Amino acid sequence: LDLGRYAGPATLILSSLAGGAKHGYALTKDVEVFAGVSLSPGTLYAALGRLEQQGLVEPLEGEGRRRPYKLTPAGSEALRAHLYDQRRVASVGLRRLSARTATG
Amino acid sequence: MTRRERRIGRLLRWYPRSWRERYGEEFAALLDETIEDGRGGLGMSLDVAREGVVARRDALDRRALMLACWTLCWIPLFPQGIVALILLVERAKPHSWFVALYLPAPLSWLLAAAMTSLGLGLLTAAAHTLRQARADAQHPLNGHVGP
Repeated sequence: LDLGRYAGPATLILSSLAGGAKHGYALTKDVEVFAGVSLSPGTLYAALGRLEQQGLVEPLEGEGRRRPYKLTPAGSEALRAHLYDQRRVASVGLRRLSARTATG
Repeated sequence: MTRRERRIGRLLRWYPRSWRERYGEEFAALLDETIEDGRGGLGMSLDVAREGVVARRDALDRRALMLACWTLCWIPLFPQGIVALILLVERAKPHSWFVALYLPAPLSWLLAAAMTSLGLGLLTAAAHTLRQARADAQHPLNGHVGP
């Protein structure tokens, strides 16, 4: 995910949309529940706009003033690759930490 | 208009018009719900202001690029490009304006041709930027224009 300082929010947004299409407020609430991170409206829409430009999310027909967004196939692929990378880094870090604990 | 609506209107003004036309309505809905939720404090305003300024900078960059290409393309294209080529064909005497005419034969042709290409390239870039800006403004899911 080549999104500079929006990479963090972008991962959270894509992970949320992986569970189904959502509008801005529902997305914020969902991210809060699964990640414990509170995304501010400005940050959320800056990241969402970039994801839309890159074809990773897609706007749907508006529901009143709200507009839901859904993950595109390219978005699913980008998220999967990014999360596998993160998992690899996490497992190396955890393994080294436990080796360190074991050796005292 | 309620106090909250006025506040949302003020927050939206941080963003450039093109952004507001595309995202304004849905973003206003999100701000409304965030304030309703009791999270519309100073932190939210600062975040909106910061991202609005970033969006303005992005929009300005594109407009500045288009203006620069549009303004500059005529110089290489006509006086240093096409007109210089015509003068080379006509075997006219060197003239202060036409850089290519000061050079010996193969180089003068090359420079005039390169200048013409540069002018055409800048003109194409200006047209492309303008087309992209128009396409963004006429997004099918944009505001009142239904799909």
